[in-house]
Amino acid sequence: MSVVALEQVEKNFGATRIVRGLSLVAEAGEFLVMVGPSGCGKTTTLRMIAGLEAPTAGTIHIGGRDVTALPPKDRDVAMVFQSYALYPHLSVFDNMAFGLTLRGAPKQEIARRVSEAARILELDALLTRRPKELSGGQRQRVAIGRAIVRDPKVFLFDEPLSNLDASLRGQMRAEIAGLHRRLGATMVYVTHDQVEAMMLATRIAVLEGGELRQVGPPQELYHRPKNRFVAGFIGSPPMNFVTGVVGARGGAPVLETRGAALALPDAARALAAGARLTVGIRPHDVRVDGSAIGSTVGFGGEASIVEPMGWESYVHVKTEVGTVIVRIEGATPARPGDRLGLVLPPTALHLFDDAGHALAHPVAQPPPVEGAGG
Amino acid sequence: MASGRTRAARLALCGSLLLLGALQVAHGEDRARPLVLWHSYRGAEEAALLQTLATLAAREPSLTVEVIAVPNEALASKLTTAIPRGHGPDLFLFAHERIGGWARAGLLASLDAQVDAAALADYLPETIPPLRFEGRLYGLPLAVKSAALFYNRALVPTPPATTDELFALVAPLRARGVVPLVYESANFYFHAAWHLGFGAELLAPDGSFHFESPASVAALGFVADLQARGVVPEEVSGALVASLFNDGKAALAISGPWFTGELARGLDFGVAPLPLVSATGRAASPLLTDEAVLIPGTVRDLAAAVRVARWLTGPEAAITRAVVGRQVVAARAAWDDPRVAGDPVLAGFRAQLATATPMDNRPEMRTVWEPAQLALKKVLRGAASPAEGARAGARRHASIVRPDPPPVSPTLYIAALAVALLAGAGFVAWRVVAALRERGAWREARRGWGWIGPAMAATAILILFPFVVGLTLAFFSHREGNWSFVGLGNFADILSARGYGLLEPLSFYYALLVTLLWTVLNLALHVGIGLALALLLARPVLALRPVYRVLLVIPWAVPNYITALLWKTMFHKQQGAINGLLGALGFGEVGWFSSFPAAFFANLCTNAWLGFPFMMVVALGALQSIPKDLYEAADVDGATAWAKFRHITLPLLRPAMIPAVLLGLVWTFNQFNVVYLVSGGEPDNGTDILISEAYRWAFARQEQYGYAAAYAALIFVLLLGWSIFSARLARRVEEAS
Ligand SMILES: Nc1ncnc2c1ncn2[C@@H]1O[C@H](COP(=O)(O)OP(=O)(O)O)[C@@H](O)[C@H]1O
Ligand SMILES: [Mg+2]
Repeated sequence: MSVVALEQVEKNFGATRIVRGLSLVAEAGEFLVMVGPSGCGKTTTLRMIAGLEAPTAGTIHIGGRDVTALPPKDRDVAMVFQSYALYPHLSVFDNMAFGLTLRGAPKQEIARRVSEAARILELDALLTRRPKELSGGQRQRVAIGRAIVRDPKVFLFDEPLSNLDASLRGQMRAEIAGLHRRLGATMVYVTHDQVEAMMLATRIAVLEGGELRQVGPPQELYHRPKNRFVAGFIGSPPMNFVTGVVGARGGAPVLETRGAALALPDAARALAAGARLTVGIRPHDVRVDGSAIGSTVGFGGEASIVEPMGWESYVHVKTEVGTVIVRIEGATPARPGDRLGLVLPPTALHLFDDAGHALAHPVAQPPPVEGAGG
Repeated sequence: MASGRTRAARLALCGSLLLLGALQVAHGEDRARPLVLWHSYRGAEEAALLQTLATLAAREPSLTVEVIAVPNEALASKLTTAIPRGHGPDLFLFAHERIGGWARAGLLASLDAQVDAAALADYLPETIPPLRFEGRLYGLPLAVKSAALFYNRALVPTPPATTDELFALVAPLRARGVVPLVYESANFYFHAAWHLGFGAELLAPDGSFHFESPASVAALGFVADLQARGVVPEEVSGALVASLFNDGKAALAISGPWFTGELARGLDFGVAPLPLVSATGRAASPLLTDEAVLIPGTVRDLAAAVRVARWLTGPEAAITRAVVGRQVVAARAAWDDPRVAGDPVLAGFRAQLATATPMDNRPEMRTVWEPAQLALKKVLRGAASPAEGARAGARRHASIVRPDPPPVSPTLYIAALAVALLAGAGFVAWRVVAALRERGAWREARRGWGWIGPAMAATAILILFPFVVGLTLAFFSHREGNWSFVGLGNFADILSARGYGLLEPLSFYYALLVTLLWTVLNLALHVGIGLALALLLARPVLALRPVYRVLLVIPWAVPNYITALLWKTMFHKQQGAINGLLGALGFGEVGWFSSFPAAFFANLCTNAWLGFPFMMVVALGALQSIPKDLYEAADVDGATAWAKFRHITLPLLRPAMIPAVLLGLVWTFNQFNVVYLVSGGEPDNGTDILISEAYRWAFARQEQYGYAAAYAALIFVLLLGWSIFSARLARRVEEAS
């Protein structure tokens, strides 16, 4: 259990700046998930923590010790690679025992720790097999086992589930969450999948283009995204955005867009008329209700795409203010071509200024859940 | 199928071409067949020969001669095999020394009825006796070849007439930095002049060679003295003779008429007979070779062949051959021509004729070379006194001429072979029947045969057939054209090391030990160097990687015999780059080919140079296929550089390296070129490996083909055993990884 602290870390490959001024702390025992689109520098950051890549500038501390210049073996971290990186010529047992053997641990101790890890990961029956005789999920478990056996200060995971099929991914996700609960170790986990991030993280760090956009508990990121990028990245299906300028109808603030007007919450009264503004609304906050069509909260439109998900569906509706995705409960509520009336309640709107910074969040929202630090 | 159709078309084309060829041959037989002449002349000699034949064609249109040039090394064996089968020429040009063996085997026509004493008087008298064997005449002389003394007039105005005068030249010439004399002192062809000059016999009347006669020992002592007292340098090769004499760094050279062609233009030199041996008062007597026109016993029109031979050896053709081909011609009348008589070089060689000794034309002569040279080299490199050297020569001679295994009746062997063939045929038939019982199998099988048939035929012709012939030869004994069935006698001789000690050169076991040592050390070097370089080249930080990679593959790309010859030159005791380097570093000269460790080391260096690129390329490929993240995982796991090499690099290289090593092992085991060309088996055949020993038995020791074939069969058995074992090993490794 150790704190991992990055301070003003930069990484350039040649002239390309990959990571820019990244300051980030993973508290002791925390499950920190770094999430962001592909190529945003997540793996690079993780490799810098592991010591496989040297930062161009900035410092990295693990457990209070400056490890910026230390080689990987002196950092006491374990890393689970996206490719698993199992030693193909060694058995499952030897793969897991490798690190301990190199450190000269006694044979009995090695056997004890490997069999314990194997028990946790249900690998007992596979200990004599070679990696090529294992399925993808089993390989993944061996790679995790190799990390567990070492009992390191910090676990680093680089998209460990990306090579697995969906059902296995769900299962492994649960196992990793269980593992974190059981071991209580500091874990830094990289993924491009925000669902995975939401489910596993105690805190999520969202990266874009090598820069940190926001870090905080999943609920906070979901309900109070600091900027338009985070708002759009967290949540599935993504938040709907409508961009326009601030105006007024009957003394109430509205967003004027494409000749239509969308009612804004009271928080928008402070905004100057004519300022450019983006509002966001999550699909489940949109209501299907034709009664208000023609007002500044109700819009009619035609369903273009319907994504049935079983007990709910996501319907893309083309309205005067643009395409809006709405979540509708029930088996088959709509078909493409159907006309629907939507209500976009002002109280459910997130407001973002022209630069994408959040101005206001919905008023009626549950208080943040436990541990909303950051 | 398009490809099938083109193949069929191609086959048809080949077939019709063959047929056409056969028709043409048949057609040709009908017309008056020209006389066919085989020779191995090249350059000016060939030009002169063709010129004389053109003149003949103009004079006598009825006598058409078709000339076929055969490479010198191949001519003898081609004649030996073609003449008995009736495919031989009508005449051929060859040195007289094979006359005895060929006449005894009935390959030559005797010319006594065709050529009378008056005709023989047309030739220089010294040139006739070598052409006789057991009283009968077998050829007509074209020209003679013998060694003589070349002298640089600028350095020695008059050549030494005696060996004492020769020794007297040392001090003044050495003072000017000039070597008094160069010649290939370790070559018995040249040594024979001293041998005879000391009064020793070439071959006793009974065909034996007396290595240990006092005169023979004295001649060995004399050449040791020549070297010790600075008259001749050490380890002189033919190339060195030419370069030292041309550069004016040697005052005298002993060589033959061919040497004139190697001399620099404008060099002021003369040719004189070799000096008298002061110790005996006899002239040093070089070996005399008659180049002669010989006629196979199978000739169709002997009279016509003799007419051509008389023309070729006659005065008119002889003048052309002397003037154009620079030959020391045998036709007496040619010497009346001022262009011939006035040529100082030709005159010098003709003067030498008076004291030269014809090479004995009996087959026994050919057993003398290797042992005589063994003795000579031992003495010259200081490894033995003249008497000890002579004894070693006699011993080696006894080994080579040891009697054949006794002939045995082939009945038992034929019966065994018949049983084996029947069993084999039965087995194949049983398998075929079993396989064909399945429905539709016959049609399938026919299509299958269509596909593999051409490859099978090629394999059978190119590999299986020679293999069976070679294996059959191993059951026969062959010397000088005579075959006898000896059953397993050759194998018994080889495996019981008959004729020599169990662990001395020439013994199978000795050669096997050397071969194993050779193979193991080479592979260790190949893999070690190859792997080390691959590890260096695989580092991505290395600048100019592609350049190094290409440079390092070059030793592999150059034909290995060229490399071997280059290294041989580099290891030369006095002129080689390696001793030059050692000298610059303050070390003394090393005689690279005078002790086993040094000669073995020289071979090893050469072959290591040749062999490491292959291992390097294999290792490099394997290294680059090891995923980088394994090393990163190990880094995180706490591995040091050594631990990563030991636990990741090595185990993951193994699957690629093991097949390469198994293959390299077979190549190295049979690496004939390096051993033959670099050390040449020196010293005393000590560094010969099995395959080069086999070669010597076949081609350097009385053509003991059967014995050599048995050697080859044993090598085959060893390698077969090894490949079965290694295939298992490879499979185990594959399973394990
Ligand atoms: N060794 C390298 N050399 C040059 N560019 C690299 C290297 N490693 C990564 N990059 C680049 O850095 C960017 C971030 O990569 P990475 O950290 O792997 O992204 P991701 O967030 O998808 O894990 C990518 O554009 C990638 O091409
Ligand atoms: Mg990545």
